[in-house]
Amino acid sequence: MAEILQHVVNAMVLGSTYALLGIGLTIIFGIMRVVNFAHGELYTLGAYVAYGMVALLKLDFFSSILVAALVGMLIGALIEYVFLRRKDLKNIDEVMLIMIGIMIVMQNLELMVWGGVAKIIPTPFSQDPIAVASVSISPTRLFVFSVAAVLLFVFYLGIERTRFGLAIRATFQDQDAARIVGVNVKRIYTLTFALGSAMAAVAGALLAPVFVATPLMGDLASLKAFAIVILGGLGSLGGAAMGGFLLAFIEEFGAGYISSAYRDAFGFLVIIIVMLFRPQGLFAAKERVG
Amino acid sequence: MNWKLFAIFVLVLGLLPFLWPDPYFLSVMGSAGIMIIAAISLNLLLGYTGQLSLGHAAFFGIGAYTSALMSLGFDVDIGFGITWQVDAKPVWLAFATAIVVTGFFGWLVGKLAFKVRGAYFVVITISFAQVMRMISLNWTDLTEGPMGMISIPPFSLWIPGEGLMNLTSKAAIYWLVLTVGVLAYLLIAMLVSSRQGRAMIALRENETLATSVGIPVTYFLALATIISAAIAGAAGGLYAHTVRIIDPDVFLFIYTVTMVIMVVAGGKGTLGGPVIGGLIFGLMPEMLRGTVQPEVQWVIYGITMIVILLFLPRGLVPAFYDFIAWIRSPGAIPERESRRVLATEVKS
Amino acid sequence: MTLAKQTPETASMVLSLEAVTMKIAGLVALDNVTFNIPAGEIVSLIGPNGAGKTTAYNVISGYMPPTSGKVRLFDEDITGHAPHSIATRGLVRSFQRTSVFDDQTVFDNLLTAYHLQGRASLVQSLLRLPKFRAEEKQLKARVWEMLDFLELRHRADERAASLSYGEQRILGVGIALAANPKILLLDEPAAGLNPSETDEFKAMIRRIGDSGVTVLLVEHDMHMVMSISDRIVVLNQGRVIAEGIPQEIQNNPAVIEAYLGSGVKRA
Repeated sequence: MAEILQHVVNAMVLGSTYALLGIGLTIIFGIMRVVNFAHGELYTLGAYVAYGMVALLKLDFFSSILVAALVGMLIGALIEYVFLRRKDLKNIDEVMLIMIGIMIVMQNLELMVWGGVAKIIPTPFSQDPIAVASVSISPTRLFVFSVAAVLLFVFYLGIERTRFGLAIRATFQDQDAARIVGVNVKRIYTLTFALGSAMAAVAGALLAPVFVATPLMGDLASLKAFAIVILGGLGSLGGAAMGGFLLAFIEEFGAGYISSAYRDAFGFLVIIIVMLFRPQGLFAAKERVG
Repeated sequence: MNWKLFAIFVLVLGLLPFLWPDPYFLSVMGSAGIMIIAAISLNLLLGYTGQLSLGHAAFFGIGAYTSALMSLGFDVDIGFGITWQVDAKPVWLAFATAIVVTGFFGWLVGKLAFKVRGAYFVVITISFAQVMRMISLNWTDLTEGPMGMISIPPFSLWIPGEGLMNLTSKAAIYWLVLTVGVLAYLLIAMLVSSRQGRAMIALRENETLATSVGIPVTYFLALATIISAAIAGAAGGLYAHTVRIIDPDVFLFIYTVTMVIMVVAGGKGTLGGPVIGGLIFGLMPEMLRGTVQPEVQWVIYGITMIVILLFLPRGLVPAFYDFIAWIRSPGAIPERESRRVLATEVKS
Repeated sequence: MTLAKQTPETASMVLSLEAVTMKIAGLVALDNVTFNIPAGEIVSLIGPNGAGKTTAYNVISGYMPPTSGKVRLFDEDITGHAPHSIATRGLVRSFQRTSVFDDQTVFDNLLTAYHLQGRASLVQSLLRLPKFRAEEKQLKARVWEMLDFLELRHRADERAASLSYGEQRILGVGIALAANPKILLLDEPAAGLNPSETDEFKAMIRRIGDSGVTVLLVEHDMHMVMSISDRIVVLNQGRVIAEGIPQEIQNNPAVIEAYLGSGVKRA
């Protein structure tokens, strides 16, 4: 029983950051229909920014997360502005391939700058785990969960209560209608990409001290982000959040009880199975033909 | 397709080992050739049938591992006290088996393709390759895990007067790859200018219209994937018996990306595209080798790909035809004319 | 130009819809629709915008399985079957938008559309065996015949997207005809055509009808509808509100009321 609870706790921590990662991609994918392979690279970037701030510049951990978010936002906006603006986003293949190109460039730049060895990010918390009942959780993980939960809540408020949030939701539902009622769709695109990238970066910065930072973590992160989007079902941000927790639980329990070597494979296997039996993760239920 | 041009090209390539017998050069051309065959196979699926399959390294890897395993023989315990044991088979038989097995996996993926579309299909194909990689890493009984498989036997050919010869020299490997490459090219060329090929192209162009005239979607998606996978499996098999060492890295996304760059930069949906793209991106690492680190190479790859996608989105071969059209009649709109020419390319 | 000749069937219907209902996202697009199309006739399906005509087409041709009800083709239940399989049974439809393969030449558009007429197997195609070669020759000859019928011979090597709008509509009909339909469903084929193009179109539809193909036509051009149809079915808000010969429909008060104020084009 204690073991199960422990897994639950770990899954909650992982899930909260996965939710951030997944929501970030959902808004990009959902609004712009961009298959954003570079999403994982923003995650990696966030992790390395955190590392740079803390280990090299001796900044405190908390502000490094903020910096990671800002950097993520900037890079995201830059990518959208330079590369995606001029492309008719209807050419899904070409846009996707451009994102792959960006992914390759970012990944290898990171390799060049940081080298291939994993970096450990020191945190200000003690390493002694806190024990509650029969479960233990390290302070770092507790912190990560708290920050992620707060951010998710802030995001929720932002989306539901602000005008920007309204504009994003409108564009998410129906671009043309949003355009007609005066939403500046171009700016929403930039904002969306920036925001989504920022969320990925924060997820990376938060998870980096829990795991380690390696230049190749982006590949897996991108795929997990897509798994989350698929699990949660496109079209709902709440669904993406659920998807994040769901994937985390699958990974935790799968690794714990089936095989930890295949930990990362569970997400993929789940996607494949879901798609086989419930393929209506698709965009429109019944699109008008003709 | 232009048979004269093709014949000349093949002739020149065939004579290359006599014109330039440097073994290093031939080895580079051989490797590039294997990647070109993989690119040709991907072009059928991505270019002609319009399916965004990004797991092609999976087929390459399955082909490589199947051929290697069959030629070395294996002995694994698959649970319930059952052992699956296969003796070492002749390389040609192993190679043929690899093609069939990979084709089967292609069929599986093709069946799935009908259920999910667009971006979701992309994610599934990538996941498929990742899962394959993890299996090859972890099922060490079968695949030796990260250590990989070594001492894979080479192809052998019975030459009159020489007896049975192992194809291990760089020139022999080069000719072997060239032969398979020419066969693959011809297969695709014959396919795309036939009724079946037209059906596949129709699915890419306008699936709704295609079904309205009676073209069954699943059948042709499956067919395209089977053939595409089988050819990729052949490339994998070639790799296994020429390089003779394979490890789970053959499943890496980066190899799929390389094939994709070759097809897209060369010109997807054209016969010459994957060949030109394959030559450029297959030879680029060699030209850059020694001068720059691999990471820098990849940055250059990535930037090249982005630039081509932004400015020459249809690829180099169509851009070339645009250029020719522009030279011939500077007043006309070159893209329109070259599209017209390329549209008739598949008339044989 | 020989199109498929159909044996006249006096008693049975080519196409019947029985109580077809289609609910989409909470809206009732088709409500208990029932009508029959007799063999060899040219029948028009009309109604104000949003009446459900294209939805009816989508249900009939297999692009949308209906919420309830049945569709029968030559007395065979084809409800919810896949579009390509319905096409092999003899029902082919054209499309309002995207009616051609843009990047292919006109010739290749039609050659592709002759898919169902080909029998050569994959192996025969790949090895270029005699059966394949002979069949390709034959198919290409039929493409030239069709080009003559459509009067698009001079455009054979052009990219379909570079054709004029009217020419594209005609090509769209040609593509549907190539699939050798016994019943042809046309979706606003004359939309956007100028008067002389419209007249040529009418003549083409009559030729198609004369060769024995049953034609179901969705159209807004009332002049064309009245002059060309043997029978008219009127839809409004998903329901059949009238069915009969043109004169009856013209004077039907329910039909007039449905169209009142919706800008019907009278040539």
